[in-house]
Amino acid sequence: MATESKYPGNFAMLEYIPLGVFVLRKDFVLLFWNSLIEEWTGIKRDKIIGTKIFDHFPNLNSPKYINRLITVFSGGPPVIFSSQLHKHLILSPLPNNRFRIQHTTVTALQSAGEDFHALFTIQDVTDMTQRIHSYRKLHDHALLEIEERKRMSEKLQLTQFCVDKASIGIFRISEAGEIKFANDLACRSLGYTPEELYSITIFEIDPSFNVERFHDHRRTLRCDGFRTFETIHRRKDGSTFPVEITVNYLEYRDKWFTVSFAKDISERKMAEEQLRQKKWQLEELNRTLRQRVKTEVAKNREKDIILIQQNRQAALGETLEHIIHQWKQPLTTIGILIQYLESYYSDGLLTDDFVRETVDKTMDLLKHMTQTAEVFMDYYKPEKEKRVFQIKKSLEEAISFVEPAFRQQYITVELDADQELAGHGFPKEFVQALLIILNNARDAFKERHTEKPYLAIKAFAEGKRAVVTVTDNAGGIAERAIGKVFDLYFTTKLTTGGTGIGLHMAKSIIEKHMKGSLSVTNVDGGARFRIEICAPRHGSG
Amino acid sequence: MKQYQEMIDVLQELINIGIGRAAGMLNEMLDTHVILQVPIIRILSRHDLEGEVGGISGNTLAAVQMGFKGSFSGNALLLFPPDSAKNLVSVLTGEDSVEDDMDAIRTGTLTEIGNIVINGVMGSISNAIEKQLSYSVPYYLEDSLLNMLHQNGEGACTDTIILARTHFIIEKHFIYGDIILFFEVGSFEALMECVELLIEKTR
Repeated sequence: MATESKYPGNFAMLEYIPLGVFVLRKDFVLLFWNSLIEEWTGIKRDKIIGTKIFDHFPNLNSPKYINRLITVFSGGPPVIFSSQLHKHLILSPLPNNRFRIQHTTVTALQSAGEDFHALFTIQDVTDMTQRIHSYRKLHDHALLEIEERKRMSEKLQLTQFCVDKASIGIFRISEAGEIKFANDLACRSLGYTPEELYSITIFEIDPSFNVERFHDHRRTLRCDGFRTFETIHRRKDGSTFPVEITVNYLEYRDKWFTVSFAKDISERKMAEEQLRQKKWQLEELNRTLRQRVKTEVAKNREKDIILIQQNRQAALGETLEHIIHQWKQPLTTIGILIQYLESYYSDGLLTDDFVRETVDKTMDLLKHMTQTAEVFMDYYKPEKEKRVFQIKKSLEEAISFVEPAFRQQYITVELDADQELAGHGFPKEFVQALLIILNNARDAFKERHTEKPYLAIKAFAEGKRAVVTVTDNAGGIAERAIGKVFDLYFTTKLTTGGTGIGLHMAKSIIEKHMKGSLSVTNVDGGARFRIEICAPRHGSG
Repeated sequence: MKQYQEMIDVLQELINIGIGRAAGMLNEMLDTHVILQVPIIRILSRHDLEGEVGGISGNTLAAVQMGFKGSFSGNALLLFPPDSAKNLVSVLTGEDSVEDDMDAIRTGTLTEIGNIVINGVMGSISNAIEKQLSYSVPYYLEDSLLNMLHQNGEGACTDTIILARTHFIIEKHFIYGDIILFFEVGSFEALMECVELLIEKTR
């Protein structure tokens, strides 16, 4: 009743509305101020009624409020001041040092006359705003979480895809040995469907495991965390294949489980077996190597002996040929002397002096023949020590040996040798090598019917080596044969009795015995053999 | 006919003035430059409405509604097409992106914007014709346009609808959208009489 007496007309009932309510007159003077807004603002109604609202809330004295409120004072439509755009129309502090958030509606309230008052009804939306903000945060958080879960789900799907498509078998085995997961390759390699695999235990695919062994294996895993071992897997059809297993013992959210990676090592095992066999073969080979070397050495020695024999025969043949050539003239002379003896005897002209003279001449000739044979044979006796020798002298000796045979084939030999040029080695073997080269040239001239056969022999020093070149004009060596002329048993003279030994022996003499070199090249119209041997060491004479 | 068209022109002028005032009010209050373009006015029957508003009539729309009574009665309905509502709330509240979910804070904001626009137009008309009207408190609602009009149409004396369509641009934020204002005038003839009187007075 007290309230009713305080406020005229309809204002009294505004006291009971659970909203902050106040009434403004056209001149912005307060006519009503309810208990709730009194409580919110802390401004007692007896202090504020009859005063201008701007005196207490200067923020309202702004065109953005006044221009809208004016329409209300003229009976215009209600005006709304929303909490988002205005927040605190009438400042109303809260215990937490914040201000009450308000949603305000202003409606025209007809006064006794033509004028209208402005009725402000203020709704406290602080809690609702906070709840909405909390809800928005939750909403945003939920959205983020959904997004994150979506990302995680995609990640998980990708991981699952990778696991499924991995090129290694992957299994998850329970403590009891049940197969809880197997990827595509694991299923494929064992010939089971996933459902079939999930219904059996590890003992059915790994025959080496039984319950006891499996528990031991688990115990070891718990200690070490992982294990790698080789075992056998059995397919659904009963066939088996070797695998290398790497097992990891992992904890996830207080649960322990194992993940096994199974790699089919059939190919590796096959390779290992092949390697093992090769190793055995190698060991066997090593074991018998000494014997094999011995056998091969013996075989080579045998070959060498044969070769030496062949060479001796060839050399002997050549020597005989040269001796025959050397002997032809003295034999002819001896024949003439004997014919003279017969003729003188028939004619009765034979005298003691003539007989003595003829015998002496014959004996001289025979002696010369013997010496010739000895000289030739001497060249085929082995030399024991290297020595310094005059290259030119050796060349002249070699030429003299072949001279009768060369003369018969009209072969011209031109020698251009440094008088002082010396070599170090085995001179007789050097002459043997030269003879092989000269005879080779003579055969070539003969075979190719060379007109005006010609040999140019040059000897000169080149650095620390003595060089001898023998150049013929027999047309050269065929390109396909030039790389093989020093090979054993290689000959281009099969039809004329070539053995393929001579040039091989010559190369052996020069290169193996005398540490020199023997090579051949084609030059204009012929072949050129080049011998290089060591010149005598300084001071060796 | 000529006189009717003249009355419609006057009505369009009044609504245009009201929209202009509303724009000024918004600029003042929001401290941002809101442009409300000159509205296009159409006088329609309920039957014609579907063809006029096209595809949005069946969509759920945000709206602010205010009833009025007096010399002429009816409902003012300000419609925000969905994107426009979100764009407006976004720029007015400073939120980066506004979800489809219109909570009480956001609807409160849209209610105030609708209130400013409707008040601008209603104030302009009522001032010009010098007739006192009484108003209900504006409120926010979400529904299809047809449902909103159907509810309001119950018991209405006429099915005439004044449609004013304007376009807002908030240059600073490159935001734009549409606002559609409906006046369901239950006593359209009374309004037109008032307008006619206004024309007579100004001659």
